[in-house]
Amino acid sequence: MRRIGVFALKFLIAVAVALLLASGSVWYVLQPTNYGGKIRNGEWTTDLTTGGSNAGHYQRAKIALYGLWAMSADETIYFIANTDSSGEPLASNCTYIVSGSGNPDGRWWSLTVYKNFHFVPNEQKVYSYSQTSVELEPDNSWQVAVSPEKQAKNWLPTGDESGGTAAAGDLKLLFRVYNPNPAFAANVGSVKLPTVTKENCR
Amino acid sequence: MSEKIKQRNRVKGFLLWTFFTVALAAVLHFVIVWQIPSYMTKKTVGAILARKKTTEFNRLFNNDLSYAKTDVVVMSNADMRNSIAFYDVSEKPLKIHCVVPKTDNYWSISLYAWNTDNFFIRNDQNAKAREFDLILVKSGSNYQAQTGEEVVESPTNRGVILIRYIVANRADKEELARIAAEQEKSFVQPIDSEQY
Repeated sequence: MRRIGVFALKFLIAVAVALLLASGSVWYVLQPTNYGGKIRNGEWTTDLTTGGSNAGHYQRAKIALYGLWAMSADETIYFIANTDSSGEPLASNCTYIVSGSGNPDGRWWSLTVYKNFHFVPNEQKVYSYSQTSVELEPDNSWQVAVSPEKQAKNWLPTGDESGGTAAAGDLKLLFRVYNPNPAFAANVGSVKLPTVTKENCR
Repeated sequence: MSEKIKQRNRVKGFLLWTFFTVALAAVLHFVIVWQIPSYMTKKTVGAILARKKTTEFNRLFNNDLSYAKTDVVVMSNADMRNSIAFYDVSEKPLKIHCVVPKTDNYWSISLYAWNTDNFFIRNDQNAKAREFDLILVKSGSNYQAQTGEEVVESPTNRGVILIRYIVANRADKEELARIAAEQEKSFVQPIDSEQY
């Protein structure tokens, strides 16, 4: 009887430790800071298996957690920036200038800012700019200011009306390219993408 | 039993339990990762239906633009209106009537399995007609397609239909009203079929 009790106790301890190890390792590999993709292009990362049935279990789980119901890469390529061009994590108390020259080789693009994977509440209800809504410079280039401070034009507000706190890494930029041309899709690691430059922090 | 043998048995027992714990942890790790997509689908579908105050599957809901206060889906698209339905084709096939808007804006219909795989997509540029029907059926169905019907087999009995209407400028109220009117033209409808 005592031996059965000892065995049951050891079994329960083993299951508890296994559960801790499993959930801890899942938490580690699916950290939001790791969200992005294996292909890097400057400050942007992407994964061409996103949304597809060829996505591995980890990528599928990450998409479910952080980018639910994404389209497959034939339709849209998602580039995520967790850092600025110097490699510093994006933070909502800083001002960044996202600069693009012309349009990527696809049908349409949009640039959206997220704080903890959701829109940043703001009075203007502005969460993104796109190929059709961004105000262009005379040379057809564009600049979007991602900032908690009001900007003259193309302002993506990151000030939180609810009084939320800023933390390094709490912001993400998502650059969507719809119907990318095959040459663009084949070279996502080297195609020309916008740059994200930090101006200052509060 | 000598002390040496007892010591050896203790080490052997410890190693066996350690192996069992690590193996169980590895299996649980894989099961959790594997189940996350289905869990997130269930959770998000539940949240959206709760907001609609219904539990109804096989019904298309037309949605406005997303806003910070109404946003349920992670990293949702700020530049689109969408129509969404949660389907269940275990009993009957589902007809999806699609109407591509008369605009230059991107439009698409995407079908997602319950595990979030995007197994079908059609956009305004590769649609064969401005109006078309898809018949969504369960895997291995004997459904006999009628002339002109495009049959799509779902890998899972339940899943998500998402119709995206890209908005060129979300501040343009006239454009939003036009798109809202276009959204009303699409619908989903379970259909009776003798062979299924």
